[in-house]
Amino acid sequence: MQKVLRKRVFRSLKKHFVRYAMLGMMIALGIFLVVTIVGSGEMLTRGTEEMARETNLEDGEFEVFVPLTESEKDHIAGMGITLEEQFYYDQQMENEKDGTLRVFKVRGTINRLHMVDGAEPSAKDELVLEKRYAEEHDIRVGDAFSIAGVSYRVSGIAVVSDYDGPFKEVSDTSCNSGLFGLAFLTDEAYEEFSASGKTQKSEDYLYAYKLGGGRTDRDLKDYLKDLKIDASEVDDELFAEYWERTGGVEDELRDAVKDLREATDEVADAIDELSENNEDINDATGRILDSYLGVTASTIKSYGMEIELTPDNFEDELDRLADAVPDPILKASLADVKEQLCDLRDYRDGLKEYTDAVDELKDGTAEMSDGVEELDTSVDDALEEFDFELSNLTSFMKASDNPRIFATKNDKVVDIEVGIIAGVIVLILLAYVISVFVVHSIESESSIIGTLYSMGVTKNDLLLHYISLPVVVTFLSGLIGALVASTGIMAPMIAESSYQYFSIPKFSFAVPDYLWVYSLVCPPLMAVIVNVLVISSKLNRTALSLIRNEAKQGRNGKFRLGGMKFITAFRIRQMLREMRSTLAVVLGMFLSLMVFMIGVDCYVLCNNIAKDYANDTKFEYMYTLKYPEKEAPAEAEAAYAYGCKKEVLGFNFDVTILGIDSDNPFFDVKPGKSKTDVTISSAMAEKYGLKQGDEFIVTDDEKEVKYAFSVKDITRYSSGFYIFMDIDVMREMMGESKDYYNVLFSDKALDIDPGRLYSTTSRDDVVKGSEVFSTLMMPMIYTLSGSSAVIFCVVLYLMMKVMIDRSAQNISLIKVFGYRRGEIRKLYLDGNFYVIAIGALIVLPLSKKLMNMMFPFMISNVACGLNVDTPFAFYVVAFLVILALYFVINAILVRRLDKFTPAEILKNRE
Amino acid sequence: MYVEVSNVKKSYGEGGSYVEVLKGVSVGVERGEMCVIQGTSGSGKSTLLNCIGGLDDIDSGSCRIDGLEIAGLRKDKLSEYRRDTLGFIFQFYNLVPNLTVRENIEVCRYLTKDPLDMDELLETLGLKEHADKFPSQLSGGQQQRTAIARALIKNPKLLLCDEPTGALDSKTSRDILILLEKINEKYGTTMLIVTHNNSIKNMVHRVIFLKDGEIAKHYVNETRVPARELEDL
Repeated sequence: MQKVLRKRVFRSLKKHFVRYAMLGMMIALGIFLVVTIVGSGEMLTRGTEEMARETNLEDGEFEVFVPLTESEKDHIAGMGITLEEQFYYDQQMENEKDGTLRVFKVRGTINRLHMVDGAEPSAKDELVLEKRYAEEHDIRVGDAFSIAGVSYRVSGIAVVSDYDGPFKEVSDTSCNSGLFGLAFLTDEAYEEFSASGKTQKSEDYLYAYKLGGGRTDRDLKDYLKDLKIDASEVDDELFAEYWERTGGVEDELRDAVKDLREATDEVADAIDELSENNEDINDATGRILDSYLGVTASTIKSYGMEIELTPDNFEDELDRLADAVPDPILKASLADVKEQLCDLRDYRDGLKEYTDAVDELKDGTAEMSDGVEELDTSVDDALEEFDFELSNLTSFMKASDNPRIFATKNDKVVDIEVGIIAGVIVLILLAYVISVFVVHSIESESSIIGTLYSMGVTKNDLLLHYISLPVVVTFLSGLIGALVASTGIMAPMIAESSYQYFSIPKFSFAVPDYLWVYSLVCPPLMAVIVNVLVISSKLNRTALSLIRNEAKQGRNGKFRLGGMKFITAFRIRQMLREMRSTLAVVLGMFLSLMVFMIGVDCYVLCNNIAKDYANDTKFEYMYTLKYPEKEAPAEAEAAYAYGCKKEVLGFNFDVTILGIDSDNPFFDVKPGKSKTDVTISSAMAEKYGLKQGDEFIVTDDEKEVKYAFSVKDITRYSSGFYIFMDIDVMREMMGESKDYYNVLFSDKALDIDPGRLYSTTSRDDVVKGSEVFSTLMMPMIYTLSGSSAVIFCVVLYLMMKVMIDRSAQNISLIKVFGYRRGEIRKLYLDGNFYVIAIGALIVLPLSKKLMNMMFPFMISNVACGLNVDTPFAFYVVAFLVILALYFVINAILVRRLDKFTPAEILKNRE
Repeated sequence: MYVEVSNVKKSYGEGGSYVEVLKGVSVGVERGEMCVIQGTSGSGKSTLLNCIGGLDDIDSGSCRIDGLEIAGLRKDKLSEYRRDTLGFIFQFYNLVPNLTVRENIEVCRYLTKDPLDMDELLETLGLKEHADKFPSQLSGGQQQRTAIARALIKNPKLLLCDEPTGALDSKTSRDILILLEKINEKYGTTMLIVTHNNSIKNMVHRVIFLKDGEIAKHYVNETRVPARELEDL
């Protein structure tokens, strides 16, 4: 039976050749684009991976204050880890527009040069330039090139895997090869350059390493952290000055505590001495008072009066006596005596209080002495604890944390994921479109199928028969698409933007195995799944029902439309009758818009990044300081930046905790005094899905500490993931001094010694860097937008055509009745306008909304915010474009109405 | 004559498959007449009907309807002619399956500015209670009555019926013929009826027999029998 039916397959293909050819072309085009886009991504990914292997890419790198000693290097070698010195100088070119050149020696083992053109330098007057810098400055092999007044011949152009993304600083958000490049000199030339005295900055002692012997990055880092140096060994004046103010305070602290202790001891001795005569003084004054009382009593007795005076009763006794004597002179004398005795008694009591206080002072001084002794010990302990010795290690970065390494590969993750997903979306749609054709065939061949059923042909036979053509067509289309793509005809165009941004050689295009499988298996598989699902129910009817061609009118159309106008009612009936095709049109619109929205979101994101970066960056210059001066320049705003990490969707991004003053004019932030309630940048909120009140944690890998925060506020700031805090609070939290800062923001260029700087970022750099994203993404945006328009048009055309074909009989019939072309169009085609218009009104925002939800996953590797807000005008334009495309398709299909003659209706006469 | 066909020739195919279906047919039908065209399969009766209906071109000859020469008319003019003059009834009804009875009739009502009253027509044809049903919910007779209502709504001057009872049982066939007779009387519609059924000729004014593309017999029926009295339907 299958043999006989197979003949029909070819006849069916012949009969509907144009239809299947168009669909086949669509699938082939889809596969071609997927294989090209994804294949290009894979080409760059695998190419850079291969280059990394070939050039022995580092496992990581670290920088030190002073070069490692031989014994230290031996120790590291003993750990099984290979090291290579990759010292360099950053040299600002004479012409400012030529930017900075990072001058290295030619590498020997790790991160070797991959020559793109020419050869490695063999003489000291030769050098190799990094490819992108050479391209930007139109430098070729054989050209003369000067560094610091010394002329070299360019012996070659090369790329290195550790600068795949040629970022000047690892914190840079984008590369600018016009302003930064690499140069490689022979060892001899490098030494001469180093000794020439023309270098502008001190040499950076960078080591690249390759792990071995089962050692991890952590093992190496731990070892390096323990390498202490004497600050005086560091050959950098600026460092020395800085160290004196920071690390050098240890001695001052110790001296101060020592002085305090000595002074305390002296005070204690003095107080001791002072208190020694307290008892004698008290006895003496007691005796003086007693003596005066005795003399007074004797004198009174000499007047014949009996009296006994003590320190406690002399006042009362003298008052009593004065009352008893009549002589006023005697009375006055007694009062004088009493007053003098009172003074004497007060003197005695005062001295007693004084000596008691001296005793207390003595006790207190003894306690103070003990406390100072304790302080001395504690300070010693604290200084031991805080390890004020200088670690030689200044930075340590694993290859996986280095944004320069595999920058191309990371950038292509998006292209690859988007390409695969978009391809599957398109294939599902086309499989559905094919199923509509097949269902149309089944319905029109209903009586034949019924007859075959009645003769014993099984449903599976027919199912196999009806899906065989879609499977063959989709398979062949996939094969053709993949074969054409495998020629690499369009791959260079797709990869061009990467070649113009990243520092990589040109790679040859090859379709990876999984894309062959994808191309050859996915299309027929989608066709089988969708068609089996759709056709199966159609073939479930009984033989008799099929023979009678019953139930052509499904339940869908059986609505009462009341007193609706005829034309409206007819269009609604037509739409309901063609529900499957209508659905395919809307689905087609939806899925093509989904593909389109990938492009739109990419475009909008790039555009918004460029716009927002420009708007949000209020400073003109940001200086990241290696050795800040004690006091920040008056014309700059000092800030304290501290780098942490936070993971999202499997990617670990840098997050900066930025301590600023509350009146910092460059950020619209009013940081409170809380250590936990912080303001975050909008970019961070978007990327990490944080909103007010949320709590989050960032990790400080260096200190192995986690910081938990709560979002108090979100501020509009797009160019980085920032956590804003009050600078004083942050200094306290991080244990820094009260005047510490390491970043300066300014609205004009500052005169800062380059040696103090890690990096300078100007507003221009930020804005230009943000524009790079657009350039990088444009080929994919164009491809996605173009593809989605083609998909939409083809699906709309095919589905409207199938609607017309399915209505051939009815169109003939109404032609018999005298309907004109315009009226027929109104009945059978114009109703689609409402489907398209209403569909677009629903599907446009829906697809955008859905894509906005999916988009963060697609660009999970990109360190930027997710502002995909789209202006309303975009929707209006997109809507009008959809309608315009509809009108074009409609105009094409109107001509098809003429193909159905009134005589067609007469064929239905069996 | 309302319908005047003169020496009409019509052929199909080329070379070995060339068939001359009408070989110079000439016939006339008066206004208001019911006329039956009979003949065996392949005699050319449906082709003649299609030519009169402007559905098929003629190779040569003349075909005038109410004085209008339709041979050689442009497509748009033919459409206009069908729209203004004709009503069609087919053997298999050709109703639009996704439209209700009322909506199927509306299809033709839309074409005229002066249609018959829809409700009256539904009443006349016994379709009032089925007006909101879909064709698949109707019997064959009800479907054919719907097709007749659709043809009549625009009050055509000429009604072309191709085997109107061909798919119906004899009782339903009789009902349909009674209806056609009633319409003819009520509206004075000229009717051309192609049929295999030999009894129908007894109820009409004029009978044409075709054989191998030529008029074999053509006469005016002087002894018309009312449709309800027809036998062997």
